[in-house]
Amino acid sequence: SNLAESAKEFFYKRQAERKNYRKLIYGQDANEEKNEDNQDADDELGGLFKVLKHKKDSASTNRYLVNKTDCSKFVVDNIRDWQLEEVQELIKDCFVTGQWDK
Amino acid sequence: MTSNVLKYEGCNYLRQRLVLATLSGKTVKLKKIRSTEDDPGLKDFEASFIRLLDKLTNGTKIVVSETGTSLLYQPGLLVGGKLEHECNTQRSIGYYLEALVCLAPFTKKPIRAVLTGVTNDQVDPSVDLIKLTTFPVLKRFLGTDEGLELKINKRAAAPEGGGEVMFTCPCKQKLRPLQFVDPGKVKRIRGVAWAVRVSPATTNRIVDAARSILNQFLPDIYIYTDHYKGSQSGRSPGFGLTLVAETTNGTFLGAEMASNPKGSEKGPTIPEDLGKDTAKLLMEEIYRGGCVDSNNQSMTAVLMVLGQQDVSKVQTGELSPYTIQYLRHIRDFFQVMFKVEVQSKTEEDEELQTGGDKLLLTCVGVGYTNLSKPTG
Repeated sequence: SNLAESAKEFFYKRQAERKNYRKLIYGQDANEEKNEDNQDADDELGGLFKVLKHKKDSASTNRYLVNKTDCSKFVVDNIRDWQLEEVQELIKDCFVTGQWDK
Repeated sequence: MTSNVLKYEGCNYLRQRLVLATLSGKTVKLKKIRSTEDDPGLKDFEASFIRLLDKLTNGTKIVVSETGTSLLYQPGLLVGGKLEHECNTQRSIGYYLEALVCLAPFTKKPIRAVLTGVTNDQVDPSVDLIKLTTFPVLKRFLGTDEGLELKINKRAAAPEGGGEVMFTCPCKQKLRPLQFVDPGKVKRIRGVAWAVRVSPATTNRIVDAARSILNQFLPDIYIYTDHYKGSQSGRSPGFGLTLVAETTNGTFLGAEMASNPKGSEKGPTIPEDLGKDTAKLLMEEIYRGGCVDSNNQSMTAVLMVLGQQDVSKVQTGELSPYTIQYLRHIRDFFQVMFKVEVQSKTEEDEELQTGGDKLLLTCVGVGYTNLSKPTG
């Protein structure tokens, strides 16, 4: 029964991970559309002036993103200190000098 | 016809959208390009990029609004052949090349482009990095590296430019599907330390500093020093380092840095710091791992989709935000979704210290064929 249980556990874990990435990549569009729908109300003040600020606030992150610099670089926010031994340990088997799988 | 137009907002991911539009033949309309900024509309480097696409194709229709805040792009046929282009110096040649490598395999005539501008800057991948890490991946799709070349005639740092490279790439009727899931182990590290219009000793200082970190991981390290003089060195001073880790299975993981451009607020860069920081960046890249490095994830994804109707599979490290956006755009233009899953470790591998989670990207090619290239 232990085996069956752990298999079950693994299955759910895998399932969760898979969903995660699918959602991360392909799921966001649906959310964005929803946000835009909510903003349509209260667009004008007395039918004369358009309220720009409103829109800007609610979608500020989105606004910021759409006109960001177009760059392919993967920016790492905090680089680990690769001079520390325990940090070096993290990738020691990526090298030919490390341990091989068998 | 109007239903066939894809609409987007903003100037971010402009290259992705125009490249995919050109490959898929779909019209794309971009609106609100920097519309709320003090300096609205397309910038010079974007205009320069659009002109490059225009030179590369035949029958492309480009309409830019008066304010420059919206752009309609109706792609023509990819012609290729010989072309010269002055790349605007706001971005380095890498910015233009990144898009060019995705289009080059599908032109009518093999591309032979002379590009002038900035060869190395802090924002985009340099011509060295593209040559050392992108070409090996491109070679797998083309099935050959005959005629695939990037020659650096003149090197130039930001901001003033004056560099020149020549890019040649063969065109294919069909691309090969990619099956690449085992990167192997890093066996050696190579690199290029370059300097223009500064003391030649700068490169040695960079190399020594980088080595002080790299040697803690691996003995097989060789970093070329590349000092350009006179008319070959552009108009601005600068230096930098490109490092590439090569594995037993032919994976190339790259990292690089360049000095602050002349007149930068951050002041001058110290060569020793640059050497050490680049070495650390390379370790981050190795930690992330995968069969293609973070810079080449998106090109790999595009060329996988444009392959024959066959399954392509590649292992990558964590996906960069740029790649994630590319995958979304690929779905918009080609209706292809990738299967992305975390690679589960086998029991024997469990104890190995190989850095972060590895992902498997799987997709079926759309069976894209190069219509303009005659068979044979």
